[in-house]
Amino acid sequence: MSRRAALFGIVTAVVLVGAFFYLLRLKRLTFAPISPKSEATVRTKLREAALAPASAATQLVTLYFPSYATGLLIPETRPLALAANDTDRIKQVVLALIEGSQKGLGTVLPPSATLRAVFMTSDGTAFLDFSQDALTNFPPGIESESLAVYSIVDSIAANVPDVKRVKFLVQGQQVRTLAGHIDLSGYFAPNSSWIAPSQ
Amino acid sequence: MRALAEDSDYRLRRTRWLLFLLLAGVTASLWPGRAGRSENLVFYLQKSHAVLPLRTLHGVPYLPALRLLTIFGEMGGLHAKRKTMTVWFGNTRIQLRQNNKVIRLDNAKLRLADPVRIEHGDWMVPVEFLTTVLPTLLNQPVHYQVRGHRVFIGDIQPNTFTLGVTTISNGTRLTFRFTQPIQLQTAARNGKWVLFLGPHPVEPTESSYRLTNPYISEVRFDDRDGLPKLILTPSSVGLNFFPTLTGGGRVLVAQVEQPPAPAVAQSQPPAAVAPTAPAAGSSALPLPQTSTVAPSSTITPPLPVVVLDAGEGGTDFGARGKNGLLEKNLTAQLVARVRVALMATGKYKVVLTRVGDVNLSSNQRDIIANITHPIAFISFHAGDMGPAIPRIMVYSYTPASPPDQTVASLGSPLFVPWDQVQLSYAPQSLRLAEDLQQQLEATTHDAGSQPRQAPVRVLRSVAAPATAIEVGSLAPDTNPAPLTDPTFQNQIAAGVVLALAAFQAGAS
Repeated sequence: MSRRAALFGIVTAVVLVGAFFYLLRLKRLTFAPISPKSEATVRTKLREAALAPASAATQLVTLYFPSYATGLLIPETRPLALAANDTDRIKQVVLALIEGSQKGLGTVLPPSATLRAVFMTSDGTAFLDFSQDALTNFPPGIESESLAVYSIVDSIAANVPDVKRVKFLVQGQQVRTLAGHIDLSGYFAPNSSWIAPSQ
Repeated sequence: MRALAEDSDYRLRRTRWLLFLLLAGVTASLWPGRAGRSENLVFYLQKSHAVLPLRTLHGVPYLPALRLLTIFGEMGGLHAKRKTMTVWFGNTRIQLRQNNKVIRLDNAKLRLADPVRIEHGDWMVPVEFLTTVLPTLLNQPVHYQVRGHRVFIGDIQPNTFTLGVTTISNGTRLTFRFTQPIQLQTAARNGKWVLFLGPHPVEPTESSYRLTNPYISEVRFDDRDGLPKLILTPSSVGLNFFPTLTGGGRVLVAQVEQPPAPAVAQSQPPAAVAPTAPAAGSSALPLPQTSTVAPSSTITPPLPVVVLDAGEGGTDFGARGKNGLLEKNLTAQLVARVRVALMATGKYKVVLTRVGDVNLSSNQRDIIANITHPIAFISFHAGDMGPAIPRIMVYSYTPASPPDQTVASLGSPLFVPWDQVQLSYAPQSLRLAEDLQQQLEATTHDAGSQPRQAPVRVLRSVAAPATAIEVGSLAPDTNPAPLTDPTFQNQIAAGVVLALAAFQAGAS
């Protein structure tokens, strides 16, 4: 073998070994599992950031999260730069609920749930259109479904005064129940009986 | 002028051709022999059964090949091209070709009378496959009668029966004599009595008996869903039904009687005297077993009806516990215990909405309740209720938002909107919920002090005082053992009995 051929062989081997390790690293980075919760949180944060007006000052909003210990909704306040128009405000409130409690209270909807669209009518009805994930990953039960529904309705009513009632849609369609128990065919008015009495 | 005539002639010819093509297309799509209606074929194996849809293609019944093979075991592999499919089943390689009558099993060629077809992406084999290919493939006998809907795999001896009809003083007696013992479970559906005969296959000599009888008009056998059962059609409503299993499980005596005179005045449809049966899921959760049905014998004066509703059922599993316990099975077990406790008082007639592991919509449950005019409707549920276990919560109905004009405000309207039926009973339902919560707390110490109100779907259209009881927590991260504890369940049953007594006392 000539010296030139030997050199060519060594260079080729080095390049191949380098490429192998590069591809291995690339594979690890590409297929690394991403926890659904963190992905949902990041997605929610991005949407919140997109909705938040650049110039608006933050204000304290009241969100109601389920407490499974009491079977009631517990208020939690947090600063949020609320948008000017009602539909964006509703989106912000729902996204904050999906993001979850900062005090370790229960979750309202699965992290994978997405709010596809919000519509407001002149009579104060807010139509919330959720993704199918809101139903498929939801823990069934009368209490869990009631807490989820009134968590959303009462939180929106507390922060968007123009909303008088809420209608739930999934993938743009009316659904019979949330997960087999609570009737979603009607329009939900705020219901304070599910909120824990203040101490 | 001539050019104009030629142009007109050309247009006419073109229109004729278009019309012809249109007619040909419509005729081809509606051609009756192409794809007919689908029926079911029931496969009985030694310890199980399976149901497959049968489709008629070009006048010949066909079966989906892959679904057929999966009944008998796992497939080792599958390789499909555009017109050829190769399946490895055990050690055998099966090769199918589209529009080809030859099926290869390894190197052997088996010729069918009709070709293999592909229909909507499914590989379909003619039903002749069952007798030509399947015995070789399974190395077992396959019994299939042409135009029948039962296929027996292996040496299965199906049960069969004879029917005798005897007239008695105030009714009629049907005696079914079986060749092998059966297991009896009963239900009432659409005004008919249904007698489930257990898992063993049954092949009757006659599938339907028409009777000229003032009590029973038809006895029909059906197993197209894989569940052998007798369906008895009463000639009139308000009849009492007493099925009894004797002779070591081989003799089923079904007695149909006219109820005593006072009961006739307040006749109820068969669903009201529906015999009850062990609930579904009994394999997972042992339930009180009864081989005979409790007759509604003393209905003079008629007993008040209590409707018990076991939540979920069939393909609707509901909530799921850590050990795989399903809501549908837990609710069925609770209902069985409450039913026994209520029947033991001798003060109530108990009607179940769900008998067996069947799908039942909320509307169907409400209809069953409404035709029986109950004094109370109690729906049982289990769900995710947090870390505390056991917990009990009682609910009465409230609409999602107050309706513009409630039924109550209209006085006694002729028609009530279906979704507002429960509103007229809201005060009674609330009182029943309060009694239940109070008594359940007294017997179990696991219920809160106050019932809640929620738009519970199953309560929405019940024309009676209605409540839902939820036990928990049944969640994937919680051990549900306390919920299946017989002591806890009996405490719930006792609480329900006490609450109903208190509710009736308050009502009177």
